[in-house]
Amino acid sequence: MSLSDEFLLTQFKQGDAGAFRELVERYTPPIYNLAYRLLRDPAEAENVTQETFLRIVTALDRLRLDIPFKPYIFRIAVNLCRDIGRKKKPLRFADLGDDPAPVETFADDAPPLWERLVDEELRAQLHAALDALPALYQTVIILRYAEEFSYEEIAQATSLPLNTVRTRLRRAKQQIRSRLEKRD
Amino acid sequence: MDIPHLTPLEIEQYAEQEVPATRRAAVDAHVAACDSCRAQATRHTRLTASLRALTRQAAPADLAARISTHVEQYLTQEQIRRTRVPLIASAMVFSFLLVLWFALEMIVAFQENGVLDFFTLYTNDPGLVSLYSWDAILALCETLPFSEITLTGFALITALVLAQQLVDTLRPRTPRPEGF
Repeated sequence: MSLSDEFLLTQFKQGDAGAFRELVERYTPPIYNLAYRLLRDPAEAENVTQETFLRIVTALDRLRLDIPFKPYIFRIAVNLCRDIGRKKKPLRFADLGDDPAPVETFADDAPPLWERLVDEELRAQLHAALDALPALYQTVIILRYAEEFSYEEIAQATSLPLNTVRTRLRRAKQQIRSRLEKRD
Repeated sequence: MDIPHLTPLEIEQYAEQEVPATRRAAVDAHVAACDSCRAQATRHTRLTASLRALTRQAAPADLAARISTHVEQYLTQEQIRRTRVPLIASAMVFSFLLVLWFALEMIVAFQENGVLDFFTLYTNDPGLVSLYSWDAILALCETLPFSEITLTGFALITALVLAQQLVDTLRPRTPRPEGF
């Protein structure tokens, strides 16, 4: 049975460096994945991953152990990506507070062509559709489906109200569906 | 079918398994009975399943090890930095005590040399200074306690430098990535 994040953090606070190493091992892949998807730059993704852990170490004395660690660490990573994204691509990240207009999809009971594509093609098209989403939608999609976050955890990680998370997730999927249907 | 179809939100909630407990039984029953809603729900479920199955971008194999090493180096430096705090604090307190001591010595020297009397006279009646010739003023300057002034100034500068060092040492540092 793997130890909980909060337990490892407590151990680390008490001087056990191995506990933090375990947290680094645990969270490096998902944070790198998130940063890479949002920034599409391997070097920046590495920097964000490292900076996230360093921020935790420097804030160790102030770190609260009564709040879940997972949304907290992702919130740091999301904020770092947002800061870097604003510097690099101001238009993509500048409107993080406002959702773009939703893309309407047409109700149709017949499964669209993209659902019948072979796995590899579907995966490639899904990746492309995901990459084409604005950062604010990509973030919720990655947290929800790659990291298996609950809606509440996404709200904590992105500092957004719960209903906004629901709306963004719905609109993100609408946009993905719409893009995939356009490729049919 | 005469019962109303599920709303897009309910279909979304169904696919995400987020239907409120109070509506779950009704929604499940409707999906089971309604071909149209079931088809839509299936499409949503397929998309979420496809998104879940998307491959992750793999991090470089040595990234976690590099981060751990850097964090450990940083913590070691922090530990060394923290052990210096009592030393710097003691030196700073001692320097400020020296400042007080030398300042008192200086005031006493000012008093003994009559310099303070001159300033009191000048403050009370600035016109009096015109009565003193330049020779008198130079003689007065010679009576200034230069050694005490120098020592007080030196101790003050030392104390301020140590205070700044103490503040720097106590302030948490944000380590910069190295070698990345």
